[in-house]
Amino acid sequence: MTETQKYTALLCSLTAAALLCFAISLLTGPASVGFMDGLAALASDKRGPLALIMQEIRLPRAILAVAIGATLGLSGAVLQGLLRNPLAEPGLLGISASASLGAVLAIYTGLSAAFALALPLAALTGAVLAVIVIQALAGLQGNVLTIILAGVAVSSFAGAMTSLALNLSPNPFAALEIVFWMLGSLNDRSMVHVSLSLPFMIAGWIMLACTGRALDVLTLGEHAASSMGANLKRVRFLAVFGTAASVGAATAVAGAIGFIGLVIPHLLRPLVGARPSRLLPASALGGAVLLLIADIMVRVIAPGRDLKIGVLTAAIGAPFFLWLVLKHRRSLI
Amino acid sequence: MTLLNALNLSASLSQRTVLKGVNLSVGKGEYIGLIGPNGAGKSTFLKATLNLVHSQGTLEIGGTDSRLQTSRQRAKQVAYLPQEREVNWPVTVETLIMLGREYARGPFTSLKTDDRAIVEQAMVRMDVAHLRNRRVTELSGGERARALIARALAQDTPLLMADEPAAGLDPAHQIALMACFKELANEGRSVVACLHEVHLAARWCSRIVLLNEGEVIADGPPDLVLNEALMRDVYGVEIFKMQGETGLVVLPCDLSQTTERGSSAT
Repeated sequence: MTETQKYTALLCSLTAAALLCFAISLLTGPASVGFMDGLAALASDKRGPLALIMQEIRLPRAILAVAIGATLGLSGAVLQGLLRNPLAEPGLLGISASASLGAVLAIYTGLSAAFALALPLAALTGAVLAVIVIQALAGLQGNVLTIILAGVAVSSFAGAMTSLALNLSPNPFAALEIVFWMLGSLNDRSMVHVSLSLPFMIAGWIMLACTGRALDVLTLGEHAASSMGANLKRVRFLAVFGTAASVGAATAVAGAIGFIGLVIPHLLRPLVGARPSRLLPASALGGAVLLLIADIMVRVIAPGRDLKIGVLTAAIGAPFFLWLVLKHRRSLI
Repeated sequence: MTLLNALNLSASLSQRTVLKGVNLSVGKGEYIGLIGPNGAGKSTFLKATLNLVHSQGTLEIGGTDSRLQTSRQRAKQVAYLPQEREVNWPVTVETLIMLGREYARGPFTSLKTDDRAIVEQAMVRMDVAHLRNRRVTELSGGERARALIARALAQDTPLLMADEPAAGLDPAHQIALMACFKELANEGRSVVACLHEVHLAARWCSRIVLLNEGEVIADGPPDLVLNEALMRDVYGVEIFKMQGETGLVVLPCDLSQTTERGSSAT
């Protein structure tokens, strides 16, 4: 089997897994729904309870799991390729932290209670502001190191401001709401959330997908890549703004979901021959599969407890980090 | 036909002037050895011509202002082999070399038969065809260097600029590399190589440019540039020089030992 055939087989397997998990996600929940009944309810225009459950609760939840998982996997793969660092992930640029800060401020000020869309809109505003600050700090010619440093600075500041909001929280319920929101969840999301976030995510995906070829030549470093025809200014712009649009929108509707952007590119890199451009679609599909599985698991493990999805992805991600440490240590021996 | 024309080229790194008004033109079919001690400005010259560092002065590639060219336009004219042998991901040797054709194809098309033939030829020239399925990260330093040179050859440009291409190669592969560059020049392409191996430059290059402290000290045929006085002034070494059957032989010697031997003989 050639490398291209292996790659095609991998993409087909991941697509099949995503479709299967999507179907299972639609059928998972407190109300028991048969597969055919569920499908019929999705297409039905009658406003019965089953159609309501499928169309208003489970479908948006499954769509968001696919879109957000794909966003996190794709942006993680792009950032690892751009920064040539296997530890890079969407949180590194401070976009998730800034989006979280925006959302937290909406909860803190009571805006989210007064107007339902205030929370995702505030989170998106936070993400956009983060990118503007990162670009201003790193400058137009900003190299990878200055982008990382600017991202760390923005992330730290946003983290500190979020902690301050928690500190000065007007009441324990607001603090609890902030903490719960920051743990990430797809519970009770509607089609409004889908229509609000999906256009930003799609715009981000398009920008991120355009970086593939440049990421391939960046394997040889910035100077070699530039001499081979890559426009580094363009690729940095696409990667940073693509991440901002997609991850900002994802964080805006689901809170901060960690580790998928780090774990998925790592797991799939050996299966795509380590070529960054091939890692992009594979990571997007892999991210979608992992988030769908995590979202199914939170409903199966603790149906009545609203287990937060960020807790589950971190619970998977932390052992993975330990495995990375062990693997690295073994390679040094 | 002039492929590269640098006039009064100056460049600074961290407020230190590294190139001071360098004039250098590269004609078709030339194999130029750019020599000089560490810090002479050789690598900076190569980077400046590719707009990888900011520079002042006239800079033309293929007859047009290099600074007005896009990186893609420049990549069709000049291939560059950096001194740093950076490969960040464990791709196979074949994938690495195919990167040299990456911008020769459209964004949504695969490599054509012609492109694959160029990649094969580059692999054969650098003796890495048998390593095609090996991961670059598993290769020895010399094998990795050859794979990276093959990547630059796969770009198939009229001009190749290589920064210390012979470093880390065993003598057989050093000679094979020099012969390959000479062959490229004979085919009508041009090569500019920064070299510390003066003996290789003397034997294989058609022209030598000696840089010191950011200035061109000498520019001409190896026999003229590699003379005892210049070598002593620039490198602080004596040279052993003779015209052998296969070409010019120049070997640097230890100045202190030569002086000692000279004084003990008297």
